[in-house]
Amino acid sequence: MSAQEYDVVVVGAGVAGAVLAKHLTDGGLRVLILEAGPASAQSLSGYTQHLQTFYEARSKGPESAWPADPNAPQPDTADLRYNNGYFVQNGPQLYGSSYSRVQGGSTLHWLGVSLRMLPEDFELRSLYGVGRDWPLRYDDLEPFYRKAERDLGVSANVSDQQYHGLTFPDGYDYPMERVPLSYSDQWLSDATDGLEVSIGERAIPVHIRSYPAARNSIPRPSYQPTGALDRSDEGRTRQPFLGERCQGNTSCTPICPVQAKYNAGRTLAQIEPRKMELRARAVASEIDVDSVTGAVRGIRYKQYDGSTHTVQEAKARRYVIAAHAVENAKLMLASGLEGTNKLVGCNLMDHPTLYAWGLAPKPIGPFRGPLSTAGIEDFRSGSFRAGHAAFRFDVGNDGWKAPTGSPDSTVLDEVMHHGRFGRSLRQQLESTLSRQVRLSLAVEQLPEESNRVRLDQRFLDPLGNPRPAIDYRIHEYSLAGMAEAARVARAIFDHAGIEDHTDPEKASWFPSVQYRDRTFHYHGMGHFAGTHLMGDDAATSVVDHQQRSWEHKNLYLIGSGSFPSMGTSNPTLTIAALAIRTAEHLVSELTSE
Amino acid sequence: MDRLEMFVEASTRLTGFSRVELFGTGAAKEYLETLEAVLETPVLDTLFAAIGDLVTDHATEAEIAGSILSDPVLAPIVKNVIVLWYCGTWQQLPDTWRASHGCSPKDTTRVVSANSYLSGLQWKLVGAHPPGGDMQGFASWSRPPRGEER
Repeated sequence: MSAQEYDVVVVGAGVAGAVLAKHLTDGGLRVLILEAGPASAQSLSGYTQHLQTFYEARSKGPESAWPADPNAPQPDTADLRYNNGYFVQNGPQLYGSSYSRVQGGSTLHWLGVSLRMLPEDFELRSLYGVGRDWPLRYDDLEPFYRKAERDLGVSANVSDQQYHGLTFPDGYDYPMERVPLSYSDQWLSDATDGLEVSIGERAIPVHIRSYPAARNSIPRPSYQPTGALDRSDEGRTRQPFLGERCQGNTSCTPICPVQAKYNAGRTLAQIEPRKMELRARAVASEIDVDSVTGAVRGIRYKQYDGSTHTVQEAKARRYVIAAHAVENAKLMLASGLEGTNKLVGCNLMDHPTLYAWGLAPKPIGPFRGPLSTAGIEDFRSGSFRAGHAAFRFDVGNDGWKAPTGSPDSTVLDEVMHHGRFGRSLRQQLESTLSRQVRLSLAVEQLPEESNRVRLDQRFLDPLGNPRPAIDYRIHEYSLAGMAEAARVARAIFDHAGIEDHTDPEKASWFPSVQYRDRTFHYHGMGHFAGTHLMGDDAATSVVDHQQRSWEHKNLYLIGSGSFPSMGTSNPTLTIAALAIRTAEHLVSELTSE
Repeated sequence: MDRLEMFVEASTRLTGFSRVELFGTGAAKEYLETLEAVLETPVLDTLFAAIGDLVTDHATEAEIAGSILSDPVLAPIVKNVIVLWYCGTWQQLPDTWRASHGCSPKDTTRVVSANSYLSGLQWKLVGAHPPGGDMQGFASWSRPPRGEER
């Protein structure tokens, strides 16, 4: 394909770009994708090398299998403590999340949680007087959620998911049956039977519920799961997909060894190769805009190879920036496109998250299965959202690994500090490790213009691209939600007979924030959003409901940066649903021109 | 008895795992070599002399606690050996120890190897497996852990 032949240039080969490109090419369009990072995960041998990197890594954090290429640097949560990473963090709080710049993007190390947003999440302002409304409603997005569930390969049972107004058409069920609940989920479900916790005036029953996960399970009729990739450097698929079921590797984050968990490489591999060209190690550095018409003329990018690079320009009929909420904003700002209303980069959100951990009264079999298989969804909805944040819990299957680094930290504590060894050590560890329970308490955050991504020209990466600087504060609304979430977690522990061991002094280091007389230790969920939010008014938003830039009619900014509010859902499924919707719009528009 | 046999025999007393289980990790030789790479010869000789005595005398756990685990030179090494078996990681020896007995460039806190990570006893202890390795199969996590019945 020569340059003039592309219909669409897409920046970014993560889930948004891959799913969009799949639907564009299925619709007959020709696509060029520019990916900043390497394509190191597309061959089986390359992917296996990433697994080896994880095995040998001292820290087993989300980034441990995916080290950055120096030319496409990325945030790393291990850099937070000394604030010496890719983000220039201006505070007052640390933004606690990370992402990966590699072909396949952060889906290479996501957990796979594929919740739909709740109908009320789209009308936060109208219903509760806080945050912003979306220019879309749940019913507008529902058909696209179904398509996204098929593209990502989501396992769940509709019968578990009809809560808080979530609706599904008659006869619909997810592509695969739900991932089986863990033994500890089953135990906790029994142990919390009948528990109600009050929020304000309302008593809310607590349920341990299977959540939709993009991990292969038992396929329903007519669904063919996809699995491990093996593509050559030329993009040729060496063998058909092996749609292997989840094998219980307990390492969804940072790497699923059998690729039973979805990653965007699986979608890229399904794209008709004659309709797509994918250039890895190609960092978009400037959107070239006609200063008179505002139309995009091309995307300048730096194609690197080790320490050398060349500057090139990609041209097409439409341009889609799908590089991640932060990278999208960075590219716009670096191109001088902050917008008349200056909202590009603003309204950065996350789901700041607390841990609660304790010891069950009996062995519950942790450190087995996917990192989690159930959540608590009961506190995501309600009139209390007028006053404080909603929240959802993830029920861990990995003991205290996330908060404390167990079992290693438990072993070290017993051996180094308590001097245990031999049979007594073994018995002590068996008794402790077998009973470890962990909850993650993920709290909603509202859009605030002062939470934002800017550029800091003092810090340039090796290609001369500026690093993102972040202003970030966790406001009262979320902090009050944290306090309520912590109270609910304690009530669950009390009811279930779980001995509470939540003690940040005995945990791994996490950022902290003050709320009244308390200190919360929180971490990011990797759920970046809001940096180019959508709306129905050009004066108060960056993109419209199709994720089209108000000011540059042939430019689209896609991904969770388009979310005007987050609710409590993990964003990936909504990112994919919106990408499919934008792709169908583009196919319709471009094929009729 | 060669050094490897002696090392594993002593390790059975230190870890609470049997000789078969320890050799079954496939990591015994690598752990011995880790010790040999980090420790200087005089310390290594002292360690193996003490280990040899314990093995020959069929020392009880109480006697082990009173000997090598109370010895200021040997105790930090012996604790590291336990952690090696359980976690597959080497812990940098304490600063005071390093000041007196040498700072090998290999004495850094690290995962010894991919194999050692996958061989950690801490996972086997509770019927689990190292994340990313020795996968247990679809739906295995739904079943009760060893020794429990629902």
